[in-house]
Amino acid sequence: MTAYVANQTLTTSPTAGLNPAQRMGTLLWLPMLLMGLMVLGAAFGLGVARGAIGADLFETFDASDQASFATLGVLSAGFAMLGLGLLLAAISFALVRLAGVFRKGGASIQKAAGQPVRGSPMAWTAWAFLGLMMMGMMVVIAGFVAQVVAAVSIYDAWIDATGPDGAVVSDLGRAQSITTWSVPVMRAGVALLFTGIAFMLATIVHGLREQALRLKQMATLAESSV
Amino acid sequence: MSSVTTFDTRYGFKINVGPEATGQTPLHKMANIMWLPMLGMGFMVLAGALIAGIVQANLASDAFPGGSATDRATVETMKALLPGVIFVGVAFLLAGISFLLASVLGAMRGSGGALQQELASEVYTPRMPASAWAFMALMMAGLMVALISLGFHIYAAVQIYDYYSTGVPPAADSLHLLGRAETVLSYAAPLSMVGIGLLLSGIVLALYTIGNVLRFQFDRVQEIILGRTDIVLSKRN
Repeated sequence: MTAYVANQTLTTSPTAGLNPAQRMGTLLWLPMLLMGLMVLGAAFGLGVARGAIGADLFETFDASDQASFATLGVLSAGFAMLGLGLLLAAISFALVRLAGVFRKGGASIQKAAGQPVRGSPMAWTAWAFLGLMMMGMMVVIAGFVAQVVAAVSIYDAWIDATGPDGAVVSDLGRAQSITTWSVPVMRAGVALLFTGIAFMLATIVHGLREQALRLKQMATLAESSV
Repeated sequence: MSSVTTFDTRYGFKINVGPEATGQTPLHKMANIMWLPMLGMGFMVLAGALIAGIVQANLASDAFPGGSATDRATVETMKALLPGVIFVGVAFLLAGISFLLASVLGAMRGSGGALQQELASEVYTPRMPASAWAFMALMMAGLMVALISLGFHIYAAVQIYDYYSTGVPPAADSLHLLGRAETVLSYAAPLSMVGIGLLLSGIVLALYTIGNVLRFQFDRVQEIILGRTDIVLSKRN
């Protein structure tokens, strides 16, 4: 949408003048935030359900209760880490949006000052950020899928158990070996997202330096023309 | 007496137009002061958790096998307590980051106002947007949830201590204590994550607010350079 004010065109579309990554950041920060909150809400709900089952389980053993208790524990941890990953992705996108605001605003100031608009190409830190963020999200999602697989195995292990020691050992072993690596994998995914955020902050600092330099150039030009 | 008029804008907040810059709000001043203590507290809590973890490891090597009931109880109690303490430490660190972002907003408000007062006849001051209020609410809710979760961890730790201190092996008739602890920990672990999630959501909203204020400031500077008054207030009320 474009609004015309006096003799200057004001582009009110939030994504105009931005590169594809910044456009994506402007559009995706809110969906990521909402998805993250919903997934964390689900993790909490699963935890509450687990707690309600666990209260009875320690009084009298019931195979179905034990299966649900163990399954919900693994699922709840998986959902919690996935929610955390989505929220970190939302922070990443919000930072990309911020970099876009700097790019667009800097260009508008140069234009208003009657100078040729000079924009710098995407810094290597921005490319590193994109790679790390995508890898981080993929790793978190892969870890989450592994947690779901482990949860299914745990359920199978306990559902026909006749007592607290009656779990199917092969299923239980498979679940435990999966959760042994899937939890650190998800944490590694979160670490990749955090590292991506650090690179995005470095990109913003780089952009700010470029803008300060450009402003200095413009001021020098203005002084010499007086 | 100077007159201040309020206008709606396309940046997600209203602005006050007046002859003088108003400076930072009390919330910004609080953020300027609070970010460092929060970071310091977070660091101290996490360092404390690290030391407690080392103590726990030493106790564990004595407690197994054949250790006293008290040693075993202490190890199991710390095992239940430490995750809650770590989450509170992380929550304090995230609160520190949040206060720092609020401080950035305050600096933008203060310096933006001063610049306008120097270069223009009217000073446009943003009123606190809904996203900033939501940011503050999320941050406080996140901290409270993390502390409530720590309360759950402490309660569970007490139950676990009572259970394991009944003897080696622990008395069978006190198994309900372990059940109670497991139940409470089932609530506490995801609750901690919810607390962290609320704090992270607050940070997202703070970044969104900073983006909107920046857009406003770039447009205002553009107005000052061009000597116009119709870019920021393109939607006058």
